[in-house]
This record gives sequence, C-alpha cells and structure tokens, in this order.
Amino acid sequence: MLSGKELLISIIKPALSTLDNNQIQQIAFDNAELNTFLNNFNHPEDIINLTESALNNLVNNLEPLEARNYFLGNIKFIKGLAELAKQNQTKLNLNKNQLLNLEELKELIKLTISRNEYNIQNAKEKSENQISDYRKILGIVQKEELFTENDYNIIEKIVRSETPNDVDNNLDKIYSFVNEFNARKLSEIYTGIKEKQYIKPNITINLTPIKLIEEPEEVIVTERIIEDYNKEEAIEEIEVTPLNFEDTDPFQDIFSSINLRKKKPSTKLVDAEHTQKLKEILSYLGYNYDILEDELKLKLTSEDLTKMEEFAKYLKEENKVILSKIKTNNIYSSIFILTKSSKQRIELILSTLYNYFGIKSAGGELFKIVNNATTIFSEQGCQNFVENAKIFKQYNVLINNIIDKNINFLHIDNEELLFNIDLLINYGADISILIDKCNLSLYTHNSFNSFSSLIKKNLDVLKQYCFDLKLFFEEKNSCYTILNSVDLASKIDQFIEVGLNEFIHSNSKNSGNILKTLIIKRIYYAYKNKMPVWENINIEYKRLKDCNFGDEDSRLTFQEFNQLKKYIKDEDSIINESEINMIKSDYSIMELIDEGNRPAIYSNSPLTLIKRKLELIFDTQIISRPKAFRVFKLLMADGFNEKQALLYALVYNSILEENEFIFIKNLVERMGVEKKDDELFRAV
Amino acid sequence: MMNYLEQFDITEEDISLLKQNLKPDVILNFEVMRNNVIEVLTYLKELGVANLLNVITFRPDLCFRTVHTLEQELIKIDKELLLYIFNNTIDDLTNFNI
Repeated sequence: MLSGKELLISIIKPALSTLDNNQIQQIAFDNAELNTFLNNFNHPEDIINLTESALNNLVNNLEPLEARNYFLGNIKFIKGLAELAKQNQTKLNLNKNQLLNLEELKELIKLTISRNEYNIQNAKEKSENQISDYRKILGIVQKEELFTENDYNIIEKIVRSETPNDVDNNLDKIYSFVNEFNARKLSEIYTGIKEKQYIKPNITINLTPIKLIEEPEEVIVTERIIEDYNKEEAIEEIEVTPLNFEDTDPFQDIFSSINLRKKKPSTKLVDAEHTQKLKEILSYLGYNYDILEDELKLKLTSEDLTKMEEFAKYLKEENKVILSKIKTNNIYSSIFILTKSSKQRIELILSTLYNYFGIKSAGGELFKIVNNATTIFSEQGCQNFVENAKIFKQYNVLINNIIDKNINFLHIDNEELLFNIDLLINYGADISILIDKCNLSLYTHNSFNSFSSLIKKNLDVLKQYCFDLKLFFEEKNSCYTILNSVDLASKIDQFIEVGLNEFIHSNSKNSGNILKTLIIKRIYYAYKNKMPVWENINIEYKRLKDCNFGDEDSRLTFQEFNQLKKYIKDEDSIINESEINMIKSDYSIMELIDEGNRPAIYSNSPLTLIKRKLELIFDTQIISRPKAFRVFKLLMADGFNEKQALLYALVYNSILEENEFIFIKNLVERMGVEKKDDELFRAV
Repeated sequence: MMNYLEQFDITEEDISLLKQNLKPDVILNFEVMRNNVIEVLTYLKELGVANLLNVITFRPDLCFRTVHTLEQELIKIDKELLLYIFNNTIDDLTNFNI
C-alpha cells in the first residue's frame, strides 16, 4: 500500500503529463453522447441505447458510495428487461420503483452533463493555474517545506480532480501525511531541534550530557511528543522549551527544559486536524473556509465538530429549506446557524411562522428572515420570537411590515416588549399601530440609555411638556412617529423658544399632530435656507467661549465644547417639578432666575399654567424652563461654576440674536452682586 | 468582527465606540448579517449619505432591510431633501415614514 506521500506524488506526476486537450475532448465527447441519449430517451424502452461505459461513468457520480452498486444493478436489470422485450417484440412493463429509477437516471444524466459543461468551460482557463498548483505541491513535497492552509485546498482540488472515484480514502491518507509532516516540521521550528528521519521512534531523551553538548541535534524530543500524543488527552501535554547548550549547565538543569503536564490550549497538529475538519464541513455546505477572517476562525476552534457535522447533514439533507434560502455568498449566516442553532429551534421557528402567520417557505419572507435576521435562530432569538409571535398574533400586528422595515424586531427581548406594551395599554394606545409605526422606540438598541426604552422616555417627555397622553393616543396615528425621536425634549424646547408653545397646546386633541407638522416644517425651512435644523454649534461656541466669569481654567476649546454638547445630549435625563424645586433650594441662583423670569400672567387657564411651567422670559426671548434646569443640573454635576452653568444652560441649543444673548449674559453676570431680595424685587 | 465597516470610512476608534454604545445583540446582528449591511451601506454611500456612522448608531434597522425594500422607501422623497435629512437630522427620518 502506498504511503500518503507516495500517493500524492503518484497522483501529481502523471497528472502533470496528461493535463492536455485530450481530457477536454474526452469530456466533450462524453457529453455529446449523453445529450444524444437524453434527447432520445422518451420511453422506458429507450434505455437500451445507453452504453455500458456511459452507465458506469454516470454511476460514478453518485453519492454515497454504497448507493452506486445498488443503483447500477437496478438500471442494468431494467436495461435487460428492455432488451428482452425488444427481442420478443412485447411491451415493456415496469413497476413504480423501476420507473422512478429511470427518472433518477435522467436527473443523474442532466447533472453529469452540466458538471461536464462546467469542466469544459473552465478547463482551458484553469489549465495553466492548475499546472502551476500541481508543480507547487510537488515542489513542497520534494523540498520538504511546510504546507500552508492554502496548500490543503490545492491538494483537495488535485485529489478530487485526479481520483474522483476514491476521493475520501486518498484525502485521508494524504492529509494524514501532510498533518504529520507539518506537525514534525512545526515542532522543529518550535523547539529549534531538528530530528533525523531515520531515528527509531522509541528513542526518547538522551540524558547523557556529554553527548548533548557534542551532538545536540541527536536529541529526539519532538518525536516523543508526537509518539505520545493522544487525542483523548489533548489537554495534558508536554511542553518543551529550546535547550541552549552554550549558556547553561546541562548537568544541573536538564529537566527544566521539559515541563511535564502543563496545560496548553492546543497543538499545531490538533489545530490542523480541526481546521481540516471545519473546511470539510463548510465545503460540504458549499462554502470556503479560507475567506473567513482570523477572529471568526479562532472562534470556530472551540466548536464541537461532531455536532456541527451532524447538523450540517441535517441542513443539507433532511430539512433543506433553511440552507436553500441562504444567499450563496452569505457564509456568515450559514456559520451562525451551523454553530448557534439546532434542529429543534429551526423546526420551532418554521412552525411558528406557519401556524401564527401562515408564512411558508415559498414566499420571500423566510428568505429575508434567514439572511437578514439570522440571529433569530440562536437560543435566545428563538425563545424571544416564539413568545413575541403570541403578542403579534394577539394584537393583529402586520407581520410583513415588521419583516420589511425592522426585521430584527421579530426577536427583540420579550420582557422589554411586554413591559412597553403594558405601559402603552394604560394610555389606551392601539398596540398594532404602535408596533407598526414605533417599533424603533419600542426597543432600545443603545446600551447607554438610562431608560428601559425610548418610548418610555418619550412618554415621560410628553408628560413633562404638558401633553395629555390619553388624548395623544386618540389622535390621527401619523403623529406617533415623534415617539421615535432620540432627542424629543430638545425639539420641543426649540419650539417653545420661538414662541410656539401656546400654538402647540392650543388644541389638546391635536397637539401631537401639530408638533409633528412643526418638526417637518422646520426641516423643510432649514433645508430650503441651507441652515442647520436644530442647532448652530459654531455660533453658540463663539459666544460662550469667553464667558468664564473670571475662571480662566474653565475656558473650553471647540472640541471640548462639542464633547460637552454631546454629553448633555447623550445624558438623556428628563426633569420633573420636584427635581426643579430641589435644584432651586440647592442653588439660590436658580431660584432667582425661576422666580424672576417665569411669565407673570395671573390666570388659572390651562394655557397659562403650561406657559408658567415651560417658559422663562428674558426681555423678548423665551427660554425653555425644563431645558434650563435639566442642563444646569448636568453641568453642575460636571463641575461647572454656578454662573457659567446657568449661562450655558439658558443658551444651550437656543437660536438667539446677538442682543438677546447679551441681555441674558449681563443678567447672569449681575446675579449675586445684589442681595437676593433686591434681585427678586428687580426681576418682578 | 465589525472591522469590515472600515471600508466605509468608519475608523477603528469609531468601531470601538460602537461596541460600547450598541447593545450586544445589535452588535451580533452587525457581525452575522454583514453581507446585507455592506450592501445597504454601499447603496447609501453611492446615494450620497455622508455620515454612515450615524446610520449605524441611530438607525441600525436600516442596515438590515434589503436594498430593494429600502430603495422603494427612499425614492418616495426628493433626493436632495432625503440626503439633507440623512446628513443633518437622521433622527427625523422616522417622521418622513422611513
């Protein structure tokens, strides 16, 4: 029997001399013959036209190996019956199984023809590359160089191409040789000790120090490692560190170079075998392992390959629907399903889709789910989806809209969804419409949000800004999209500051739609006039950069100012009336501002109350009161001095004329100069 | 495994920030469904969207739509206005039913 090395050479050498047009011509001839037969194969009797050699070649394409003889026997038997019928001039009667066999034969012929056509098409283009690959591998074998990952692929191609009838056996032998060769070579590199090929494997460590000094190359340490290696005990290994015979005293410390039973994650040999197995599994599913990035390759090293292989068979042969929906280039989704899903999860998801929403494999929905919501097939994803499906069904949610617009909403955290639905039900909201229009806010994708969800935050914002939530959810549902705004409070602040507070709340049954219309109009206006929509950071910085109230250290660069704005924006806190009162009691400067600058309208009408709650008046300019307190609180927490924090809070995001800014700045500057009572009196 | 985003002028530092800011399951989506993310971001880049980092941060859902579906949605709005919203106030895309 040939060794792996001899086998590889015996495959490559003849192939190098026969890779010419003869092969292509032979394939073309075979194809012509098969085409002619197929075109004339209209009745079962026509089977007699199939030649013996063509039949044998066809059957060689059958997998698995065991099925070949059985299928060949059946076809030959049918052919015999057909010949007998022809001789006796009788009708050929076949049973169902035999007719099925003929249909299978037709399929096999079609498959073989298309494979041959592909080979013919590519043979000429590839021949040069192939020859170069063949020579490369032969060179590596002869020069005893290290085989790289890419070489494994080339070897596989060569073996498949040259010995199609015995691919598995030949690959086994050759890979065993390559793996052992590589392991030996790597060990040599790793230990720095070169072993001699002819030394018997039982020789272990030569402990005679004199010999070590004289002939260090003779010490066969690595051979022993490979000999002793046991797959079952891969964790317990021997680590060998290079011996430096010149610097150390070998008598004294010879064992220090050998560290027995030290835990080591893996060896090159194990890695190579593992990688090879992974390649085979992915190749079986039609993917190339080599294109994966290193990080993913590393993750895959910890996978249970036996389990993965079984699951790959299930995907390829038992339940083909998932694999058939994955885009051909979507290797990452395939790997995710292969490693993180299971037969039970797939079946559960498919049955849930069908039973709850009537989604079958034929429509485009499953295609989108498999490719764009692959993570649904994980344990957590599947669990969430099954629970969420009940909610979607209960509230008649339009599942196709979710699939089209926010497909991963299908498997968002079920507890979070339930919490938000409970919250919304309290206000009489239509859950189906809300899921359709506000799915963005029903799930928080940012981890820094202090709120359980954006919708919870925005409901609190609307409450703080005096919207009646029950009336809001009775409005035309187009306004619900404002609940998806990340920074809704700032937008309302801006409308308050341009004097639209009263307008927004003029009709409480339509406040939501008025707000949405204002947002859209503002965007159009800014777009038409080529202006920023919600803020002008350059002007704001230009005005504020010198306002440090004598504290030179607090002067901010533009970058720092930008970071400060981001900090305020990201710190998505909102503030309620009791917190405002606490701030006022802690900082008299805020009490003065609040008492001195709220609208002095003595009426108890709802609009008056809203204005007093939401506005501060500075000459002709309105400043949002919740904004001023919210930003002041954040800036104080960030270490600002009171006056600076107050000024920054008042003008934060405000679009002010120069004189309006100066008015506010002067007011803040003067604060604390006079006594508190005088200040109050002057303000009133 | 989100380094593929670098082809869209998103720096290593940005990616590291994204990993801090986005929830783990959203990051996993970006890792696993990268083929679609690449298709969508390529389409948006060709359309003229300048700040793709904002798209990922504020509208990750867009990255998991098919390009075809997204295109059908976006063509309903004037292109210049659409780009203005994308580049200036992406948060408000939702108010234009996107």
